[in-house]
Amino acid sequence: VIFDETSGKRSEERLDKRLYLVTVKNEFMGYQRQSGRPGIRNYLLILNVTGLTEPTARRISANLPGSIMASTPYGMGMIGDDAQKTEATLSGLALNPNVGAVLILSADRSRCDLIMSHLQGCKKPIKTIVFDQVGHDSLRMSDEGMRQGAVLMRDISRQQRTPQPLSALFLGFECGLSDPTSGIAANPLLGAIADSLVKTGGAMVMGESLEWLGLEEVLAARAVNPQVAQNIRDAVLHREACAKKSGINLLGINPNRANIRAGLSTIEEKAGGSVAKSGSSPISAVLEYGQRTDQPGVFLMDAPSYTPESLTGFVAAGAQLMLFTTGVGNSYVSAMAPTIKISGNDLTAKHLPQQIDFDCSAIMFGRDPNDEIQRLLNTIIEVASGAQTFGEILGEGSEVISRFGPSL
Amino acid sequence: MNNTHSLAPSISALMLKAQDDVANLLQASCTAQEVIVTGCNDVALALRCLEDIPRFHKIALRDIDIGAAVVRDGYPIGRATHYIKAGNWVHIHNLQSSRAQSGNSLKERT
Repeated sequence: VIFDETSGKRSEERLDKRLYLVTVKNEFMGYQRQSGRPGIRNYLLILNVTGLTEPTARRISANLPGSIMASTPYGMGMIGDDAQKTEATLSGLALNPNVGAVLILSADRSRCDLIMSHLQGCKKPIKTIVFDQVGHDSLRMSDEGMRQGAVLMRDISRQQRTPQPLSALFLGFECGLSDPTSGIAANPLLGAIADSLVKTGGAMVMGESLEWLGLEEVLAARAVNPQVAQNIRDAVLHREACAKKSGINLLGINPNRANIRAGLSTIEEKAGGSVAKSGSSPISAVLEYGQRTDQPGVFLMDAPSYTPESLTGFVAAGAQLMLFTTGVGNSYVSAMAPTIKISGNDLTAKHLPQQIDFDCSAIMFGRDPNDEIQRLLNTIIEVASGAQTFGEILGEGSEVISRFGPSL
Repeated sequence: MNNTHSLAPSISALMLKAQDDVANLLQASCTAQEVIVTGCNDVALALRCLEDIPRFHKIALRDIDIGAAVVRDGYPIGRATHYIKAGNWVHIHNLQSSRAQSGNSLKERT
């Protein structure tokens, strides 16, 4: 029912039939990597690390169908924390398990070398082209990029999917344009998935630290140690301080107008629904934006709430798959990590049949959430094994790296 | 739990925790319509809607004093800015965040 390619319909009858036909396996078919978690996709990543080369990178990627471009439109002039986090995020994107090979484009060799220094020990094929070596000719870079990229794509297309345990999954959890059904049905469903995944040795990450506001003590109580608990409180204080410093009263910004129209009144109410995504398992650590981890467990990322930058932070951390709940509807997905769109609002699922991959609105009307856990796990296994989400089919994805300070 | 006083049939609302002050309606409601509240401890509670309330929005389950915390899902989601009667729509016109105002951060409270 989730991906009815022929009709786009999702009848209860078909749903029930699927429930009986599909038995939950504890494995998926993924791409084994020489180190780290397996990929659920096998992309050539065109990684653009300087703003000057971005149009060229876009041209190369457009001419290599199936490749994914991730880019920073900035470059020289980024300083301090901003430069460091951008560097970590770009490297993290290259190291994401869904990437089979990388083509790095840069205006200058030094910036390229800086990113390469983070990729030491990474066994995947990596090629680099910098403007210096092509006489600062963007057309030569395009030509060279297409030729090298084509070879990389052909090479990685030889790789086969093999059985992988569910515990090898690292999921990113996001919500966007929430409504009351998000907090009642969809996010608690994700929380149940988180608990079940983490129990088997998998990992999950949740960001949007502003939306822990009011719930920071609930989250801190789940921290594995007092330091992590303090990091959770500090992350919220930091976001509050950011808002205050800019003279912003959060009232009227979060929840946003669409949230309010849908019935969410305050940040505390929205936050409660939001943190339900993370389940009830112990929280291992608070990651910085884009910080990688290869550990199992529940991770929180201190990151902006806005979806594009939030999802890219998760991809850089190493998440292969996103579970994304929405109340009102939200078309945005990660370009590099297949994103399953989930809604607990029956009308939204009905109005957006080519956006919502998984309709869990039955929970609102009394369906046993346990049935939906099984059904969502099946969907996760399907997508991890290669079934496409609407966001992938329609090309709704991008990657956007957040900023953390002014440029020189 | 009959609805002879109301023209429209009764509608349902979900209460998440026993101590909650509000419940989320599963359908849009009209003034004077009967609302059956379920979802907690299998105890159904009935009340009358005092105004039209949009689908999935919150209805007050009891009278709430001005300035009192409004509890939903077991924790306070803000404070009442007006006196709220059982059956009223609870939203931004009578409920305000306790956190999203300057001078009220976690640090200053603790």
